[in-house]
Amino acid sequence: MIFGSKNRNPNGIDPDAQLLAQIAKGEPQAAKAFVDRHLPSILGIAGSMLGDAGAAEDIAQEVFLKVWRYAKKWKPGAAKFQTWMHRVTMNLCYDQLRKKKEILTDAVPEQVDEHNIGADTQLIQNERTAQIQAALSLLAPRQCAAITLCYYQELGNIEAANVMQISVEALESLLARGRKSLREKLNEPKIEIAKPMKDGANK
Amino acid sequence: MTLEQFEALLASYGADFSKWPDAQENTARAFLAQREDEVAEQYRNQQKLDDALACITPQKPRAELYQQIYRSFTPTLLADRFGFAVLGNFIFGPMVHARSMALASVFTLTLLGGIGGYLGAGQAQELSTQTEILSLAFSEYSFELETDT
Repeated sequence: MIFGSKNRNPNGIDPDAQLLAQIAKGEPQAAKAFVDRHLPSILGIAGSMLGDAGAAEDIAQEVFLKVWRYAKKWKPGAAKFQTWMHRVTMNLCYDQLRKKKEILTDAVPEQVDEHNIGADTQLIQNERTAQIQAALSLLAPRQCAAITLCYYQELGNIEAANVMQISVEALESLLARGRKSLREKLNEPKIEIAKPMKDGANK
Repeated sequence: MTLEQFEALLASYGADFSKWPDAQENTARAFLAQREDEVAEQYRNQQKLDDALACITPQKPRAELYQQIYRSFTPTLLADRFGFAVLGNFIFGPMVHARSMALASVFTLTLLGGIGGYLGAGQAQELSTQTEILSLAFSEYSFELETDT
């Protein structure tokens, strides 16, 4: 089923065209403005896909190095520069995930022991967030990428499909499978944290 | 919208209709209002998942990261400006197109080959002349092997 996308760029002009032309000429102010505009989304994609803040920062730096080099070769018209940049980010994340594959386990991080709930709401919230983040990073990379682009980056379905170089139909399939898998991972039985033995319990 | 279409889109885009494709957003709201009983459970499940996903706030860049990336701009640019490629351009002129660069390389190699061939042929001729002179010089002598026996 293919339906139209959210139209987030009605005039069709690449909003980055002017900045890129200035970057190609070597203007540092343009580079700074470009970083300010795009770093949050690049880091957001890498962070959601990798679930590792440090690795996400490395990816973001690498993406911008590529941007500085590619700026003067880029010709407006064919595709939005942001689409290219998101694609580069995702591919770097895929490479990173491939390297980390052997040390990934299927286990979702432990949840907080129910007996301790209420002691520190913030801690519980953090644990919950970590659990969801871990479940997200355990998804198949392409499913994770689809959810990241559509949910967190709020790209329209056509744009997200362009970034992933797939059809909208394939994107919808990835989204559905990703969400299903995520729900299953989050519904897995809780892993009890080993509780310290109370007085007399070890007698 | 059919029930199957609604379910498929719900599974893909979740319970927040604002994240659905524009063309389906209002239709989906109307569909849910009309047939809530049939899809209530699926809708609730997707809502729970949306709530879970909303727990994650995207990582915000640190100020130091901004600075590191700003700083990476100038060295990259300098490397590109004074690297081997640019040095080549400076020496041989701006050859933007690969085809013209290839043609220029072929031309240069042919020229160098031609010059090398010409010089080599001259040298060979000179050597051959020297050999002839030596042959003539020694042709008048004959050698006999003397033995004591």
